[in-house]
Amino acid sequence: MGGVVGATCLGDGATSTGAFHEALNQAAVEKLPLILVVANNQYAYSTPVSRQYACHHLVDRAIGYGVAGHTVDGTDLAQCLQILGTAVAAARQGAGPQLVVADLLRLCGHGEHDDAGYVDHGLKQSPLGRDCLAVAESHLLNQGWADSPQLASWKHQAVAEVEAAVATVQRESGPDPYREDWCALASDHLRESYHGNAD
Amino acid sequence: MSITYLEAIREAQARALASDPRVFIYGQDVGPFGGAFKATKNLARDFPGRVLDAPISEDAILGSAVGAAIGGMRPIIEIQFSDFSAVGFSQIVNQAATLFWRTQVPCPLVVRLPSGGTAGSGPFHSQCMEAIYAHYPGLVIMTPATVEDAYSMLLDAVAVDDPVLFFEHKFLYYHLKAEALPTETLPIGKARISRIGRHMTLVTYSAMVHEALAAAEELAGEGYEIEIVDLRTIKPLDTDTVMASVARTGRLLCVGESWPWGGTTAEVVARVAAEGFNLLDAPPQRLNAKDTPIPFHPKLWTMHRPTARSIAIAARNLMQL
Amino acid sequence: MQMPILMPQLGESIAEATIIRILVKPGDGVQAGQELLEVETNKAVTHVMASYPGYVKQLLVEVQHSYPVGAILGYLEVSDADASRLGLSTKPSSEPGEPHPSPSNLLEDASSPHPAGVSKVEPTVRGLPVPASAVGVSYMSPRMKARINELGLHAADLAGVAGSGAGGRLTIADFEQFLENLEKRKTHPASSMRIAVADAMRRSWTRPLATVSLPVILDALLAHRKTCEPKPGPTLYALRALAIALSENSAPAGRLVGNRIVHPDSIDIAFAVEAEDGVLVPVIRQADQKTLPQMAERYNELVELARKRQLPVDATGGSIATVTNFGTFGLTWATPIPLPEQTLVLGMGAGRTAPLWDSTSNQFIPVTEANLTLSFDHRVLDGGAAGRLLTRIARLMENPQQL
Repeated sequence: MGGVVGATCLGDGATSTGAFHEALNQAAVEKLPLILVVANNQYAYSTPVSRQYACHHLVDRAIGYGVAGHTVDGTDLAQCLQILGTAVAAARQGAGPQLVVADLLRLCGHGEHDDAGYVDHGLKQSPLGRDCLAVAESHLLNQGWADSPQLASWKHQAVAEVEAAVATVQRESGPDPYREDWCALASDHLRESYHGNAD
Repeated sequence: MSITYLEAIREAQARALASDPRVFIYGQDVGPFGGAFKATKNLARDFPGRVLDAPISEDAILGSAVGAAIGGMRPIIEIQFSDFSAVGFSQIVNQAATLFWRTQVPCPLVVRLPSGGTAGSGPFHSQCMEAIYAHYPGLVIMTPATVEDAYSMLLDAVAVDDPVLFFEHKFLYYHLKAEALPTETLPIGKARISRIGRHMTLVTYSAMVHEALAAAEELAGEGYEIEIVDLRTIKPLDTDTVMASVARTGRLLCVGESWPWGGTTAEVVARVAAEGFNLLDAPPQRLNAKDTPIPFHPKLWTMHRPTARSIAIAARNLMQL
Repeated sequence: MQMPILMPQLGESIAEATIIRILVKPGDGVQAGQELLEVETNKAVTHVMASYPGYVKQLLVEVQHSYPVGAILGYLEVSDADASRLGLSTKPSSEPGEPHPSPSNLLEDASSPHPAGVSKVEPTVRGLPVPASAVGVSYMSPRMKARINELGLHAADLAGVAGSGAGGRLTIADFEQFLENLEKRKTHPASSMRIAVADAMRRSWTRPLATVSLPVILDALLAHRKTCEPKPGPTLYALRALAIALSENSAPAGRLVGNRIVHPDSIDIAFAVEAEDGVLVPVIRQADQKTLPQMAERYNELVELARKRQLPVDATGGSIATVTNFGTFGLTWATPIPLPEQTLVLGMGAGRTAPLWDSTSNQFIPVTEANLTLSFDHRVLDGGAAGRLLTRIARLMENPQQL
């Protein structure tokens, strides 16, 4: 596949699944060029990492699988760019799977209904609880790579793009259940023509 | 005082924890958070050390429940959405279900499985999996349709020495209310006649009982009285009650929210056709969800599974056969 | 919304029907179940009815033209409210047998073995009976069959009872209503004799029965009778003649069992005696070995016992043919039905004076004539054999000194 690298994003909770274990183990054995980016945002729904794993740090798992491990401050864009760059280059050169664990804090609920009242206050106040967008903006301003009006204009533009996309989609008519084909098979000739379902 | 289906489930768990020290609850977010649907709200606080948060590891969650049951405990496992039980399928069907058969050691565990869809819940948060598990010998499958049954059947489930899969319906959690908790109940394995009728027997379970009741109202206006049988437990299935009802009415319509192939509706029709052939005045009919994964889009979802309207149409058609 | 009017399935093996009369025109309002077209098949004249309420949008048929089952004969316009209530979808209805268009272009590759457009799995066997769940097709449900059995009824007892079910079938509800309605009608209990005869006749009728006939001239018989004491009835003459004819050739009274004709082993002939509400059939045993005078006394005795319903068990049963004299009712012609376990019944009508052409004197002379009829199970013998038997019987009866 010449230079192609695969990547996947998952959360701290997902690292407890059997699928994670089996997949990483398998990728390691096959020495696949795979970047696993774990957004360790400290909570899986309401479950804190203390109930999720007992590692000192989640990246310690890399040793067990025989793969390279990287940690990065998930709130810092510059660091993320640098560390991910390193990991991708390593994978491209045949170094096998790269486990990248980014530490950050989930700043909203698990879903819209969730007020995340269970999130530890201390964490919210700590550097882990920084808003990564605010951090990136400060960095751009400090480095002189952009000024405030430019940032405002980018934000404005991004909002406009999103709103336009939302408006476009909302104008679409949506599926019509009476014209829907209702076939789960790609092979049309294998669908059952049994109509005994009174549907 | 009015109590919801969800509150009844919580009350039952509180009562089980209080009355039996062997009981504990394990699942994702069940602890201080009180569960994704709040089914265990405050229970971790009221019963310290007995309501524990699990990692995202259904295989290990269910496997450790089997181990705990062997060790003499009575675990209640909450799988956050029944759909996720597929990840721990082997533990249920190969370990829990076969333990007594293989070793004569009973496996008294309860797995609570929030089931059924709501608009937008999509293919992995909506499934009704009772038929898959009912297929395996060694399991008890419950599908309570009322607040009272949600309470008493969960207590019965904990008391039973066999693995019980308790399929709660998410839509009923907050929408279904009752005046009070029951003081007495039907035994496990007995179906209930939710509505008396003469022209047709409609066999169903879980949330579909309520859709069927609405459909029966519509047909009553046209002069047809539909008798509704709420199975309560899929397995053991109360064939006697179903058969007696068909003996009175002569017509059978089975309704299920799950898919058609090998569903609960198929099992009921097979039994009546085989053992009650001479009771039937018309061919037995089934109404199920469409044979596709559960759609996300609400417009498709509303047409995917039976509704009061589609049940009424099916019933009307059956009256004309 | 528009709904097609389809030619319905009008009966097993009916493939098409001819329009005889068009009963509505576009614009007419119709109710569900209203007759729209009068059609004729090779079995009957019947109707195409509206499946829904609405109004006639369009008719596509012509009188005296034929259209196949499933053809679209026109369109009804159904109101949205009714369409919703009845669950009519807006899915474009396809012609029966038309495959759905394939959504995937992958199959339209010229090198692909799959024919483009083939979508559903088709049945390999065609022409099977229409499934019972199709609306509009008549059948008897298992429950009906069981209920009929339970009450000791037969489908024939319910002929002509109208049903409200699919295709006019009798539903359990119809049947219970029918039984209830019977309570309001004048009825009297059928005697056990009546029921026994009904059952016997029904069982007999499951066979293909036919009848042949000959007139027999009774003058010689009547003269012979005057010389006898006790006087044998005309029935006994017929019985004795039948017995002699069968002793000469017993095959016509044989029973068909599988692929063999089982011959009778003893020429025991029964005769019909009218008893209250039915018929009894006492038996003359070995009628071929007794002469007429020898059986006359026994015959009279049996008639008396039969009338008083005091026949001993050994006097009935085991006979191989029966004789019945319907002439005693004044009838000249009848086609009696053989007993279910017998192949033959010989009937005799009333004698009357009739002209017979006498070629020697070239004029009509008066004779006393009666019809003999022989009803038989056509599986065992044909007209020829029946005719030969009847001819022999008639000749014997016209020569009574041989009896």
